[in-house]
Amino acid sequence: MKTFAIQGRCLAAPPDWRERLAAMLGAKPRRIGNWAELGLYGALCCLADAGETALPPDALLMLGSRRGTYVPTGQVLDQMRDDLPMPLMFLQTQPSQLLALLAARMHWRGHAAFIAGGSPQALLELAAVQSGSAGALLGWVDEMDGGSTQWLRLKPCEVGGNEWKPAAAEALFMPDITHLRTAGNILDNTD
Amino acid sequence: MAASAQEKELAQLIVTSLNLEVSADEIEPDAPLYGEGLGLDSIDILELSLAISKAYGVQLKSDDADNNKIFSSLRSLNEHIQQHRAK
Amino acid sequence: MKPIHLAGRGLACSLGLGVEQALTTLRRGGAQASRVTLPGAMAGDYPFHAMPHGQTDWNERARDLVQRVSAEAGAQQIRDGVLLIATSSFDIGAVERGATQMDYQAFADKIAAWLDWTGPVHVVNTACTSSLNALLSAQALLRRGAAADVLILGVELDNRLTLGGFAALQLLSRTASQPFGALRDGLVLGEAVAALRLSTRDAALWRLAGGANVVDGEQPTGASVRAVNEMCVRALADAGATPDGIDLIKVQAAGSPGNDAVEAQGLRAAFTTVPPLVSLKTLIGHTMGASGAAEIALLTGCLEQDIWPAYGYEQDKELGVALAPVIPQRVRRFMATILGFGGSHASVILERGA
Repeated sequence: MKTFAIQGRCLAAPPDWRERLAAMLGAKPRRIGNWAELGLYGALCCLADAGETALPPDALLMLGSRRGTYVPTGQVLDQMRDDLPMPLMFLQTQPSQLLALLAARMHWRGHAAFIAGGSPQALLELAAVQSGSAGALLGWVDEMDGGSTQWLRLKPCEVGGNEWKPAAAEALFMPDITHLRTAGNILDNTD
Repeated sequence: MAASAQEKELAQLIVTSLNLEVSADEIEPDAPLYGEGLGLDSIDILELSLAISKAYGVQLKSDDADNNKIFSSLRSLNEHIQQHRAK
Repeated sequence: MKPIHLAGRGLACSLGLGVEQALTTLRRGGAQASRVTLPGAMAGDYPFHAMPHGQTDWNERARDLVQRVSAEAGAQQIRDGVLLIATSSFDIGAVERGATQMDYQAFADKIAAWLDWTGPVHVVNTACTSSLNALLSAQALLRRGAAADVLILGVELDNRLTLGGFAALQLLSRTASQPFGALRDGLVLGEAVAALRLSTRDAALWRLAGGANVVDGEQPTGASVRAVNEMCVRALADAGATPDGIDLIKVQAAGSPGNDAVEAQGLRAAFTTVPPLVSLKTLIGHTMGASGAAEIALLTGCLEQDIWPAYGYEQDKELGVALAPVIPQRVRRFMATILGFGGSHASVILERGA
């Protein structure tokens, strides 16, 4: 069992997220693809919300997705019917490219992994056993249905046990949740 | 010296394949493509190499010792392509 | 903290189906890589380490390999444990043939069903380092007591996407993989299914002592010297080991002109005296997401049975490191490294029990 305080979050991308991302990066990204751009936007917003400009070296970066890079993967398969895929498009099929992009952007070198499929709750359980005192940056990014990019900056903390309420798994990315407790999917709202 | 028609065509291929913000007309024929100048890196060069080989039938290898010269500018790249093109 | 034992292992690769068969093939001098032809602008023949398995239906072949390799590792005893599938390409080979849709969860469900798995399943996808990152997740689960048994299943099977992508990035050799070789000109890919069963209950000869993964965004398609160094430092600290306590390093070295040089430089930064080195890429190719598990399964077998790869090409003296020509005596502790796409640098340390 592990308790996290939510230090920062990004729960959705506003309609003008592309312009905002370009402003944050200083230029429009030109070769990383829509899914990675969505992820980058959410992660940077989440870090800013946590009041951090860089992730601590010992923090864990855990990224998950239901469908991940299925769009560029489909495009590459089309390209490959009669020729080699284009290099940049092939790179976009690799979800771990987003980890490298984030590391570069956050001036960070550390432990990061992409977990394919499953659920945000399962990802949280893995992040809980793998993260240490610097906590984790946890993201869930998908580009179906207009796209979603949900991120939490989690720090381990000690909180008393009595006020904990069980919550539905979907509550992980609810705005009023302040703490999460893993093992048994018990989530808490201490407000 | 102004860009030739062939150079303009190649500039358009560069802009399209690399999704550049600049327009093809803005690429100076003698300005460097790498680093300062157009700001391309080694992965861009790989992308461009494959786009060129698909369009012109010219194979450009990433480990070619002459790459710095070939990719030094739009003009030198175009010269190399015109000398070797199969399409 | 309870020791984490390598309680079982299974392997299918170009050397054969099963660890023993692979070792037998090695004793007889190894297996030739086959060749694949890619279409289009950079068309041509590339060597590829395919598995000796005749089934032509992609899913049936995958099912047989997954079941066979998992059974070899003793998976049937721990079906309520945690299954960590490590892959860079999922079942894209089946998608290419129109036999299935690209869907992570459907892929995980399919494999879990093949194994009658009842416990939790996660799919780790960090390109080449997928299996080692699965090992790090397994280690955390076992150390914290969140699981007592974990099966790591590296799956990297025949597909055009990986080959085509690597060819497009001009990373492939047209002839052969020559790790740390003077004339190295690229890597050779291979397919593999590999299983490592880790347990805090079942004692075994080898134990997982620790490890680390360092992602560095400096080079999204390759390694960086500083990250190789940092990976070694972190892995040693996690295992409670010192540099002079490492008797052997299984390097990434796949024969890439740039990446091999970066790895060599990083190792020289991390180790005052670089331990004996071994690369297994000449034997089975670079098996991507499966490589960490496949190479650990193969290497532990080699160490137990005194088998060593013969390289047969000239090493690059300028690197300042070289692959060990003969098996080092008494390997008590070795490091196994995979470097890859996504700026990922991963290494684990295994110890031999008394």
